[in-house]
Amino acid sequence: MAKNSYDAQAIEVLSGLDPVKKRPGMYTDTSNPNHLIQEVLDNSVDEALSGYCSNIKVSVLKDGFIKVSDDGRGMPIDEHPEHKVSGVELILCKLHAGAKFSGDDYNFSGGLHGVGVSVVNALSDELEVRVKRDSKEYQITFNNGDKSSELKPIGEVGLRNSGTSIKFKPNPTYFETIEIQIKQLKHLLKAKAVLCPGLTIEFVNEKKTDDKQKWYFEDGLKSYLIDSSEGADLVLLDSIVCSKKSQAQELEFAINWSLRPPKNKLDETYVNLIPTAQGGSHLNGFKAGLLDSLKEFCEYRNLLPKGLKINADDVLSNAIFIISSKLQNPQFAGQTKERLDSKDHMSFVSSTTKDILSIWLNTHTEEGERIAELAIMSAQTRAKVSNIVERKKTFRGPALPGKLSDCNSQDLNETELFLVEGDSAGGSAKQARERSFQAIMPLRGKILNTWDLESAEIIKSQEIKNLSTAIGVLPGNNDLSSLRYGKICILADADSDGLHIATLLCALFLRHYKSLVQEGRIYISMPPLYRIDSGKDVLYALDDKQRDEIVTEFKKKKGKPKVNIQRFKGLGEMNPPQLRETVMDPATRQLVQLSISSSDNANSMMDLLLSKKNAPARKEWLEKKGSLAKI
Amino acid sequence: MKEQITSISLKQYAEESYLNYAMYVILDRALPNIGDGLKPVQRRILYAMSELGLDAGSKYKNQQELLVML
Repeated sequence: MAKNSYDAQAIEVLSGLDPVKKRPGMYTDTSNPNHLIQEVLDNSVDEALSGYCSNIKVSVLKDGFIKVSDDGRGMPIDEHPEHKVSGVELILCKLHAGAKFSGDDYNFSGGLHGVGVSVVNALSDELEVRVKRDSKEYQITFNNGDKSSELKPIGEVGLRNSGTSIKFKPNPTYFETIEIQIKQLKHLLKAKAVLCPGLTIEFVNEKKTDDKQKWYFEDGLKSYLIDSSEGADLVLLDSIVCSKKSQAQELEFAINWSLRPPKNKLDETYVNLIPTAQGGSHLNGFKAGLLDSLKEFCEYRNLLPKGLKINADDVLSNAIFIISSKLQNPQFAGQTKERLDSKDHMSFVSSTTKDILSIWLNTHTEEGERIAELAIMSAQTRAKVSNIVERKKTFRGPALPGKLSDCNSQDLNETELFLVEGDSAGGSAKQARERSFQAIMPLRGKILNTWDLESAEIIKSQEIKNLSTAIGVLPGNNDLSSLRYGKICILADADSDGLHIATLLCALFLRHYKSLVQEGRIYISMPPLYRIDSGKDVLYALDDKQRDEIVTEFKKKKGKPKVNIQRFKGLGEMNPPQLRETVMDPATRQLVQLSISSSDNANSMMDLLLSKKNAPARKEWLEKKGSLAKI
Repeated sequence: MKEQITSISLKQYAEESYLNYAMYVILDRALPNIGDGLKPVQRRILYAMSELGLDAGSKYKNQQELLVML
């Protein structure tokens, strides 16, 4: 058996441009050649950022070549002291030999950016570089990264005429398609023009007639914003702009809002002029600073309705913005390395944004309020939607509330649901009821005043949710096919709080279950307030008046036995047999049906009683009728 | 089960009930008395405390005792 020799000899070191050819996916986006164009373009843009170039032209040529030319200083044609080849050759044959922002020292690192134009060279069938410099024009050509002709002068040019022009044809074997994504390319070119004010970028597509465009933005971000938002109604007269430089970082942004959702929602972020489609630290810092400053502004000026909270999405709904960050050694993350990962930068961005926005908001209060309004509206919509979503969730399961003690029958002709005030009364009622057709559900405390609220909102209250599940019908729903009980009886104590609960339940049923009321399915149980016994006779009184009548009756009896009066403070004071006799047994109970007719306007009465805004009218009503109250 | 069903208009029932509740709250819960500045619940507490012998100078007693007294 031959020994597999795994020794140092077996290890291969890829040199020169071989790594790129062996693993192109590590160095470029192999789905299409757009990224190659970006790399070449970045070199020219570097020149522009350093102030030496003011025109870049990108052409897609008919023969499959792509050409990028600039009027910068031109790549160095002299020999590099260390590597003994011309500067041009070095740039094109050595990985990671690229331009820097001269003087400002912005480095690219990580990700698919900054790998250099040598990658383009390695992956192109043919590549030709022409440099105009020192009154001469030079040319050097390559095939798949291998030099095919030496650097040599090919002509004379004017003294001031300088620049670099690179023409290349991507090798199809490395790419899924060699079709250039024109739309994306144009977008990129436009962005570069924006982020480098004073730079003109021209694009020509020879494959399609009349496909040429020029971009030039003197005002940088601001004019880009206005340009991209054509057709949208902008809220602010003047977009908010920021341009802040610190020792190692820079932030520039422009933001505005549109009244209606904009057609192409501009929300672009860049790091060192590289588009970061997946956002990252700079975007997150921006959102945080923006939200903070707006929240503060709203608090200061009392703009938020009670209980409403705005979040970052609310502030950015309908916002159009562009952020351009510059920092040394940015780290990129994400699958396509299009997301910035830098904690330091994030805090820089968020504090800068917050400061700038706070100042702006407080010096443009009217416009600031309009922005706040937009955010508040979005938050309100969000709250409503979440309420409705919650409601849909509750009805997914047929789980009846645990507190409900259901009855056996399903026949609507006989089934009854008793809504009882308090757990102790609930307990007695459960013992007192007739299990075959009577169900009990205790209500804890006073229920929500649902008169002013929407059906979708009230389901947020646990009690209301339980109630509607027990009844089988959602509030606001007119379809009673899933109704579980023929009668719904309100069983509240005879004291004033009990009456309040009864009123609140009436409001609930009238507003959200009108059909139930119209069908006469809502009843009120009238439990007695007093129990009067004299000897063997027991009678119940609903109120003081009845009690007095009964007492007088009893006192007339022979022998004048002692009259005992027991006052029930709550239903819980009655024992189950008493409860049954007085409230649950159909033969002896007092059950009153609640009715509405179209003539008497119950709604206006309920409005007067329970609507929050009618407090003054209520006061008047109390002044007028207060003396009629029985307790 | 022969049952007499009496009917009452919801409007009337709601008005009476709420009126009752409202007057009760106004008179016997929410508003302090002009004489002693106390709401009924406060007065009950003070009365129970005095029944227990609690005053400004006496030592502390358990709140349960007070509740039993109430």
